[in-house]
Amino acid sequence: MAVIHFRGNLPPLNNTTRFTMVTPDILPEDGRKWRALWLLGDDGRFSDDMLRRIDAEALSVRINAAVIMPEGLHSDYENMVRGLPWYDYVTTGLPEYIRSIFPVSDRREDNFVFGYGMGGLGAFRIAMRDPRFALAYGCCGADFDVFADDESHSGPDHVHRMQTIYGDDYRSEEILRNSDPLMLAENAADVPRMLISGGSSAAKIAGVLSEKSAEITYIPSSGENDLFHALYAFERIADQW
Amino acid sequence: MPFFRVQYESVTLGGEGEFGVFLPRNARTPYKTLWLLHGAFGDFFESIQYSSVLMYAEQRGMAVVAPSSYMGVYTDMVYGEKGYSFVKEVLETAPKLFSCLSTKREDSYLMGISMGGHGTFKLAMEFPERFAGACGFSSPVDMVYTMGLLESGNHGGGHELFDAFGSSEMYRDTVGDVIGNLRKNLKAGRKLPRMALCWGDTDHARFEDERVKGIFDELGVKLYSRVGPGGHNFDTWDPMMEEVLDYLMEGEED
Repeated sequence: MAVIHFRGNLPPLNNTTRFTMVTPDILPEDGRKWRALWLLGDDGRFSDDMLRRIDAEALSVRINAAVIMPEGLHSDYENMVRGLPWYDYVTTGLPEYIRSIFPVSDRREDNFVFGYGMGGLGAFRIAMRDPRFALAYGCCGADFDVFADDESHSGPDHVHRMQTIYGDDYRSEEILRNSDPLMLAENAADVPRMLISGGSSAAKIAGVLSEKSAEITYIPSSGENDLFHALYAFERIADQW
Repeated sequence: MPFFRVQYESVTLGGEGEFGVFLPRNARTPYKTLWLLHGAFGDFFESIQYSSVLMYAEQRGMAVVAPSSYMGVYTDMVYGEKGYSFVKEVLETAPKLFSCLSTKREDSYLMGISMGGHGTFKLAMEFPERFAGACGFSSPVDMVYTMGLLESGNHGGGHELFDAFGSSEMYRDTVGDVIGNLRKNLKAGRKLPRMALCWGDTDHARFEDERVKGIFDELGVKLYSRVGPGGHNFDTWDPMMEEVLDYLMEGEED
């Protein structure tokens, strides 16, 4: 068991970033590689936030996988119009780097993605855009209405944040087709095994995906313990650990 | 350089152990590795903070792995932690965690600062087949002799050295008896790493290091040495580091 804190400059960010990684109890024998859980954290958090929120070491032991926690700052884990290419980093740059350094498997059946809050949105988009990246995806507490034109999504801070990530015309058809969770769900052709936890918007999206796949699990929001309920449920539905 | 701070459950320490890993940019894996041992009462960050060793290593395509050894005395203490076993544990653990690190002899080097140099030569004598080069800066290489100085009141070290090493007689003929083990290795015909020892001209360790240099010369073992201007500090050691690394990597085999 080891807890590893990384600080360095990685492509394609080309900017100093951090990740935290917990490795399983057992070092791999020659030629064997660890499974990996890519655990995406919430808005504006450092990479050790999830280490502190959950017992990531115990999780690593239970699932016998390396738990890798990148930071995403305020990016929605997207390639930002005014910022850094976080989506490419999380789905390509970081995995390639980690696998070049540590004995971490690149096989789909050995990889899992789970996200909380902003990380839930990131995990969802990876599932929709890159369903072959991992065997199972978990999305907890995501704001699936992030593009909605309603009162809670019209304040100046939210608008500024959206313009920074998606551009000034962030409700354009092109942006929505590529990033709006409901549109991604409606247009998805290849739907992987997923757990979705949240309120009515999450239920709606889970319903859309359930019409395309039998491997969708929805858990209604249960209040402040959402993360723990969803994570334990995800462990059960992933069932390939 | 990309930096990893590793905390893990150490079997030898019976608690948490720590080491730092710094990987070179623009180098191919598996990386050559410089195992960097800090001085007494420091931690893995000490040599990084006060020298340019990371830059020198990266320019040579080397990763740096630096354990934090409790008290930095590199011995399984008579009263205290198993500091030497811990460093050997890191030597085993780090390449398993970081599969990018080479464990080939020709890619493996040791560098020790002050007391870290004792650990360096101790490892080099126990595992001469594991390392291509080993160097110390102002180091008590022969701790049996240094303990003798301490016992006779001719050394400035404190009681903690007795807690760690016991006495000169207790330390003699152990894995830490570097000169004794050098003689045994020569007798056994084991191939030794390239070795270097540097110190400052006003350094309190200079008399011990001059003596060690003399012993190596008498035994016919090449010990590359330099004496820099200054005392027992990084201002003295840092300007000699590049030259020493180049010797360890490219110098003549003994």
